[in-house]
Amino acid sequence: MTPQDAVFLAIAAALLIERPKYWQIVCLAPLVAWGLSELPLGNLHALLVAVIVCLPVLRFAPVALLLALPNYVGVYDALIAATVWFAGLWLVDSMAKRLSDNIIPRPLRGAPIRLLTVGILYYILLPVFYLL
Amino acid sequence: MTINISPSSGPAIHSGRMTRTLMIYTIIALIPVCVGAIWVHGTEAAVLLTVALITAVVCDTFFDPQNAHDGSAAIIGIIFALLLPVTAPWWIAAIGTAIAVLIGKQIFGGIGKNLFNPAALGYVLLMGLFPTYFFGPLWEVDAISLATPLTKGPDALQPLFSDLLFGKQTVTLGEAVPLTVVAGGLLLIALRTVNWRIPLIFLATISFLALVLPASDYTSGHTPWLEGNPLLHLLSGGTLLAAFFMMSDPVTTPFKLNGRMVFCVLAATYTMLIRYYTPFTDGVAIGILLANATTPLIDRITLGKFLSVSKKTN
Repeated sequence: MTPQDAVFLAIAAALLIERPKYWQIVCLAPLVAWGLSELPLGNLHALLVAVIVCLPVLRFAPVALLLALPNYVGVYDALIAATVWFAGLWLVDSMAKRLSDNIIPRPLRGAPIRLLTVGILYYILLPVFYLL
Repeated sequence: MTINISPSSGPAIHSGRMTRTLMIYTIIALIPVCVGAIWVHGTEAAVLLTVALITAVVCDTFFDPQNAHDGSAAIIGIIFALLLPVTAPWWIAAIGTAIAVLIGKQIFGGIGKNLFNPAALGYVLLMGLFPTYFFGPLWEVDAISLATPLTKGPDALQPLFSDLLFGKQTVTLGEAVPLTVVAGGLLLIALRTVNWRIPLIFLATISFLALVLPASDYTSGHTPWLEGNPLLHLLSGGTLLAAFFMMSDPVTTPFKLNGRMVFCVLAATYTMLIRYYTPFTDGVAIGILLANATTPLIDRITLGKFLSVSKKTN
């Protein structure tokens, strides 16, 4: 899984789960994943990453895991993933009013329209990854 | 407690202009652009425009028969077709227009509620579905191999100013005769459908960035003429079409004029960054969509206290 795929899956997951109080901590997951990949942990690597990124905000564990999954080449890669996830989620949150229930066709209300918007954003933002 | 003041509750003065009137003005302004495209590219252009127009109106009528006759679907169809390369088959125009109307407009609640510019969204989604029709370095037009003026790569050809002006080295319908786009745009400005500041700021930002942006690996090797050449960037791709016909979309752009100016600068900046630093040929559609995504944020900043008063009480 590429970092950009993971970031957008994590944005989609974040929209489906009720946000815990300190959800922003999840931004650190890519950095933690990259940092641990630099250590000689052998078979313990995956387990340690999972425990360290999931424990701080348990309710957001799926989001943290998605962000920790890719193989980050360097700290820059991990930083970009964290920033794009945070900015992407902020962008989708800002659209909430335009995606409000009363204007959207009934079968698409709620999660479907939000997920569809994330999908559209994924397409639109693909060229941006060339810039980073 | 939060008190929300809706802009629909007034006080408001009606300008006397109906949505349908504005749409008709836009369609009239698009006629010279279509005529220019057909004049340069012939039957192929006419087929793409007709298929896109019919598909747009049929899809809109099917999903929203009550509002289908406002003319907005026709505009989506025409603008979408004008973004296409003339070599695109008719079914690409049909699928793309259907995507534009259904995903770009209808699923977000129909006219007046869409988040993204439908024509640009249809174009970008289609680019992902059928990349071969959009990323070919060379297109066969009338048995002659042509490269779009914005192509980067070893097959790229340096365009002449006169060729750009009269569509001799152009591939997309909207760039066929740039003067017709300007004429249509000026008509919209004269009819007060478009604020003159919007296209001016967009085009000025494109020109400025074309002059100051440093070269990249994508441009410096094979296509040095793409650097420091504002005229090329203004006359190629969808720049002029976007400036006059897409930037002025009242639904997907910010509510206030200062917000729209910021929107234009953002869209132009994204467009130029994509043209300079990515392998994509024309970044206008993506640039507009990226700016569309920031519209709610711009509105929140520029409207802020103007529309909603929040009062927290215990």
